[in-house]
Amino acid sequence: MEAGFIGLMEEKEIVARWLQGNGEDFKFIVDKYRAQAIALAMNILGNREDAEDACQEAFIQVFRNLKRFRLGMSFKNWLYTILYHRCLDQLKRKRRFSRLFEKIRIESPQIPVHQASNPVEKRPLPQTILKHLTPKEKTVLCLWANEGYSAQEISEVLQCSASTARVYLFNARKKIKALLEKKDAALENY
Amino acid sequence: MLHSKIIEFIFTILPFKSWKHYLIRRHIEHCPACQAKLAQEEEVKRLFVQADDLSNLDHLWPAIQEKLNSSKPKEKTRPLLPRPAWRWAVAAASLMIMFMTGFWLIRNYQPDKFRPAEEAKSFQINYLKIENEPARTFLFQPKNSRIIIIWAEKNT
Repeated sequence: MEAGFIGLMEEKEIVARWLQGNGEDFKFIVDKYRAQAIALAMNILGNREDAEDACQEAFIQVFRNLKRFRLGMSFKNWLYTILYHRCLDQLKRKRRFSRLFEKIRIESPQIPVHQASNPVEKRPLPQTILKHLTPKEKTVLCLWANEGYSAQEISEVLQCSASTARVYLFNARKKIKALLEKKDAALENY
Repeated sequence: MLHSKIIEFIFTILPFKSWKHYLIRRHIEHCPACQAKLAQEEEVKRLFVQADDLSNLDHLWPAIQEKLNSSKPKEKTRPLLPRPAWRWAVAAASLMIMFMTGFWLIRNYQPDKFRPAEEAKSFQINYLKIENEPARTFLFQPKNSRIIIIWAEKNT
């Protein structure tokens, strides 16, 4: 079966077949959603390596828990929910590591630390803007702008009520608008 | 512009998301001035990585497959604590029980029941018997005290 053929198949059909024991179908699930999943994870995490790690973990979790998936709901939203939580885990791990790294650097100043002369210089412009957003705001905006999700669909991914998702989206849109208006200041750093 | 600022202020002070949601639906979604303060889809889209921008994705499946083959799923262990939803239910039920018990105790509390009897002005002992024999009795009253002790002993 070719990957292109998957686009014609219903996701529920693939999942149902896989639940019946057709293990090969999981590869098609990965092939179908990998680009969108990595894009979402990259937008939350800010770099590709971490995004790929989060995606791998998410797909493995999907593989192991597919029996818990309810056929009535959207498989893509379910995958995104898992991926969102794995991205949060990645961020937590990174934060813990950076705290440890900072501690080591403070305690032993003789250790040479390789650092870019100006980290902002190497960061692309969207990242300098997006770093001001929380992971939740990035997720909400990414799902809304990239995937065309409604507040209801976003709420399914974030596992909150639709009204809460709408408020998150409103706040994120307002925040990013304000940041875009300060784009000139960001461009100076760029 | 002023009304937009007023709406913004109201939105900020509203304490609950459901109220904020109501304001968004009733006003902000239909107001051009308020909408102008929000980023549009195209503006946001430009900032984010798109799925179509990505290439070289073929190594993802082999990496997943390798991990799936190398590690077996962990056996599911029973959590030591109940899930958060249950914790709330247990806490609510405990509070309810405590409240009901307190209410019941207060309701049945009769302060009169525990009030000591009024003090006697005088008392009289007609006789005391120990083992069917008249007993010897003594009365003691400690100095500066209103307590009277009655001592009875076998008349030998």
